Amino acid sequence: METRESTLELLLVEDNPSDLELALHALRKHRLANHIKVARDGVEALEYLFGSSTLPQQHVHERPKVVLLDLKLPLINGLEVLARIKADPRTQNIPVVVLTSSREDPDIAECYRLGANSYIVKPVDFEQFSESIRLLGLYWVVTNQPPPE
Amino acid sequence: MVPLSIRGHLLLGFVGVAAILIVAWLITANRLSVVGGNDTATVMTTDALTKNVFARMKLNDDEETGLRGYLLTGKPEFLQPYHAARQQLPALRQLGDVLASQEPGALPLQKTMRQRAVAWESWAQALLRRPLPATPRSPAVIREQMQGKALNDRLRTASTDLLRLLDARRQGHLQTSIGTLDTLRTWLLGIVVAALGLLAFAGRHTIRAVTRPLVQLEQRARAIGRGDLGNPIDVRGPVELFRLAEAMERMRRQLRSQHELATSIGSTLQLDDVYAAFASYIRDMAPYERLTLSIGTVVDGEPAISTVYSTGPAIAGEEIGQSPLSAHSVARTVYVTQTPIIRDNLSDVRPEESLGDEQAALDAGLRSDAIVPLLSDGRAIGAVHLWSRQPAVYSQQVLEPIQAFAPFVAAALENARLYEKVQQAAQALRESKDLYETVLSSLEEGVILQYADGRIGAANHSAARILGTTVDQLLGQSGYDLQWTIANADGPSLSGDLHPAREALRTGKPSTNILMEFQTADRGQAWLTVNAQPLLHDDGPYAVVCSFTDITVSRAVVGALRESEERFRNAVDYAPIGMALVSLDGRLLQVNQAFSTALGYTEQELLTFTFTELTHSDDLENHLPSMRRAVAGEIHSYQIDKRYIHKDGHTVWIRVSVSLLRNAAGDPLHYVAQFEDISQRKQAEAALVASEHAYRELSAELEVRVEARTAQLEMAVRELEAFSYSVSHDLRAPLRAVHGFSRILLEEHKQALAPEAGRYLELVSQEAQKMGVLIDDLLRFSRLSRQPLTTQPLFMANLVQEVLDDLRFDIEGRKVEVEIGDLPRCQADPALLKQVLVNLLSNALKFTQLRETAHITVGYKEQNDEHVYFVKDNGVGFDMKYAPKLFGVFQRLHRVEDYAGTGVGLAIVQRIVHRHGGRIWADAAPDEGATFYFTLGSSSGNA
Repeated sequence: METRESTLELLLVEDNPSDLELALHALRKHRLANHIKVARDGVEALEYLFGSSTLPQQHVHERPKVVLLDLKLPLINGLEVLARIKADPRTQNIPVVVLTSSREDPDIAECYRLGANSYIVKPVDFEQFSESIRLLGLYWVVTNQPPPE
Repeated sequence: MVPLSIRGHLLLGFVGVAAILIVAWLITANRLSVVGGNDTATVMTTDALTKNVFARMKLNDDEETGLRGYLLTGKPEFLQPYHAARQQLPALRQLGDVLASQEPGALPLQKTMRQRAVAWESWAQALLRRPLPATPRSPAVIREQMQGKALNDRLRTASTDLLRLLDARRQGHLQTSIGTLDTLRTWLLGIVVAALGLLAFAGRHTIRAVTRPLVQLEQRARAIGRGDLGNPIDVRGPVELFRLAEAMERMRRQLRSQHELATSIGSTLQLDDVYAAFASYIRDMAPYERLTLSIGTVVDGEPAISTVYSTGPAIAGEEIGQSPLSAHSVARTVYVTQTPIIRDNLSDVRPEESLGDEQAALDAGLRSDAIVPLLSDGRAIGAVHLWSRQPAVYSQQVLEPIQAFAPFVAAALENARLYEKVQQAAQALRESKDLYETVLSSLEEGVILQYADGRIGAANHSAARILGTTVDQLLGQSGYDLQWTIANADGPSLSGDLHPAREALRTGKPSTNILMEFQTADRGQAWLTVNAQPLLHDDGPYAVVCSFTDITVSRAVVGALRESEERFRNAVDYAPIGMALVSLDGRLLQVNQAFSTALGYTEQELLTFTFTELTHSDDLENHLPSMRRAVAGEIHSYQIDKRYIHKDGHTVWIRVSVSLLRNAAGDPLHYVAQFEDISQRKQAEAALVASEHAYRELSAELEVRVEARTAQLEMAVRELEAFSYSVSHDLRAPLRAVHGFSRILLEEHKQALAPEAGRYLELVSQEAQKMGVLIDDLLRFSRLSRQPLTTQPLFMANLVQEVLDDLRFDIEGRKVEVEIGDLPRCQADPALLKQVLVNLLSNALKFTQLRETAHITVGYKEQNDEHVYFVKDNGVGFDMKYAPKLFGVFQRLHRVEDYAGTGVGLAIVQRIVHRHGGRIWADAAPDEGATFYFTLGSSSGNA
């Protein structure tokens, strides 16, 4: 999914393969899938962003325009990934949109406290889900002016 | 226009007339001179010339006569007149020339006359120069003399001509004068008429200027006399009348103010109103910025002054309220001198005249003041103190009306004081009457006041009750009409005269405690004790007060008592519990059978014992403290459990209840003791102690178990929360996948699918969606028990309106009539209460969807002290036998095809209502609509 010749636009962190496929499908459908990197768990996401999931980071690998972050992730969960992104001055300006299955999540408040830019409940209804993805991509990738490097 | 004085008016009139007359005179004189044409000089010239001619003629005659005499006689003496005349004539002729030159037409004649005179004289002179002829009668002489005569005749003719001319001239002068006199007369007449006219006009003006205001003043004076004080006097006229009018106006205002004051004083008995009226009256008399009215009074025997009224800006340190006269410098000064004090400028008061209040008044912006004593009957009753912001406002004259009215104020004050006293007396009378009536009505005893003629003047309710009638009936009749059968206690009927009331009236002495019997309509025979107290005038009793008590019951009690005493004695003897009468030193005076039986002795044996001897040696001391307290009167009775020794030696547990009998004087007489055998109870107690011990152990164990259970329960709740969370995540994820991929298939691979497969896929996605909704509802439901309740005061009606707005898409295109009743405020969690209303209202909308017009009512009622809200619809309703299932989770009373829904809504509603401490119930019938009622517990209502 990654294309070298152009800037990465979207980092999608999602462990559930069905959700991943549906999300990619929706992104493709709305022509937002050109520069996407997918991470399947928290470790992968952090490694991608910082080169390592544990060490203090030497460099920032890539600066996507937006990170779509599922909370329930194996190994390192979404909250921690969020905390790490927002704690590092180099990445804290990257908008993070938290995706979750349920509005029941007790972590909503925690997400906002950590600096999540948006919080989206993945609806069961695919049309709604697809629409959410479209609006989200449209806003953060196309409309929103990214912070200067 | 500046008003003139009357003198001024007159002066003005006369000056005017004089001026006009002078002008008229000047005009006339001018006119006369024009019309006359000749003046005095002309007339005198004519006269003088005439006289001159005559004189010259006479002298000429003298000459001629003298000459003739001479000629006749030859005697020179005759020539003397001739020479005299000849000497005078030249001067006269000279004068004649002058005069003739001024007399028109006379000069030629004068010249002729002169020439002829000269001619004659020349002849005469010539004659004289010659000697006298010797023959006087010679023809020559005669001829010569005839020649002289002709010359003289000619002279005379000339003289006559001139005289004739002059005569004509004098005639002309006369004519002219007569004409002038006529003109003059006419003018004079005109002037006199004009002068009279002007005089009349000026007089009329002057008179009108004076009389009109006088008449008006007279009318106004009459009007004031008739009592018309309301209209101001505004009369204009000469200064004197203007001042008179002003004086009358002042008088009218004063009269009116006095009238108003008198009226207001006469019409009120309230002191404050009198003061206010007086202050307003004073304002009409003398302007002021501040006024205080002080009234003399007496406090503790000392004269004092009390400021009863004040108005205007307060002055610092002013003595307001009541103060002794000695402390009130201002009032004291006025009281002593009884004359007003006027200070035209408070800043200029000399130190020795200072009253000490000037600076404070100046500080309050006041410049001058006046203190006016109010004198009534030569006595100062009070004082009025006036202040003004202007200097020199008050004068004796201004203040006089205030003083003049002091007696009225004094009278009003006296009236008001008297009225207050009357009020107080009336109040005291009312209170005393109230007291008397209260006492009378609260008496258990019947009381009747009866006059000597038998009329009943007063009766209380007890009297009416005892006599079986009403107070009104009693008051309406004569006491002797009552159908009382009067009897002595045990004897025959009393005659009417022996009724204690009559007895008291007749003898004037009270009768007491007379026992009487009488028949009541409702209760039959009754017994009364009657007291009769006569009320005495100087001439004997005029009324009697009867008080009586119904002792029918007491009498019955006394009778019953005698019987019951007998019964009581039996009861004691055969009572199941033991009883004993014990002397203060512990001896048994009387015992009953039960007591004897309990201890195994006979009655006779027991009477030889003391209490102590029967008591277990361990319990001897137990009851001593209680006994002492009973004897001291601290307690009436006491109870004690103690052991006695049975005759056969075993211990008997007995509960003793002891009370102390006292005589009428309060001295202790005996103990009365009751004995209850409690041996069995004591055994039971021992057993109980043992069992309680066991129970304690058990309950301790239970407590441990409860704690464990609670911990388990808490764990379960936590597990439930975790479960909810995982349900939301884990159940929804696959559903999303099912729905998502179905949709993708349907949208992007439709052609590849058989039509049937498409339909099935459609169903799959629909079901997945439905399950999503189910999960959401279920989670919301479970969340309700965890979510903290935050209540606040709410306007239910606003909330309902909000919800209806949210539901407008369900209402659109339907005929829905929603009626929102008068909903009180309530105390609730706004989000949760809104959920309740959303669920109930959307249900109501849902189940009325087949109605042509949906009627939905949101109402409120109070029922058994509960605040009940309800949502009522005219929908399909339901059978009440399913009511218990209504609020269960996933419970549905209708098919999904007919009415969509998950069956969680009402369960949520119930959960929310329960969380608020309220309850919910429904009332419905199939096809007749449903009503859901709910309360919000004690937190609802008008919070």
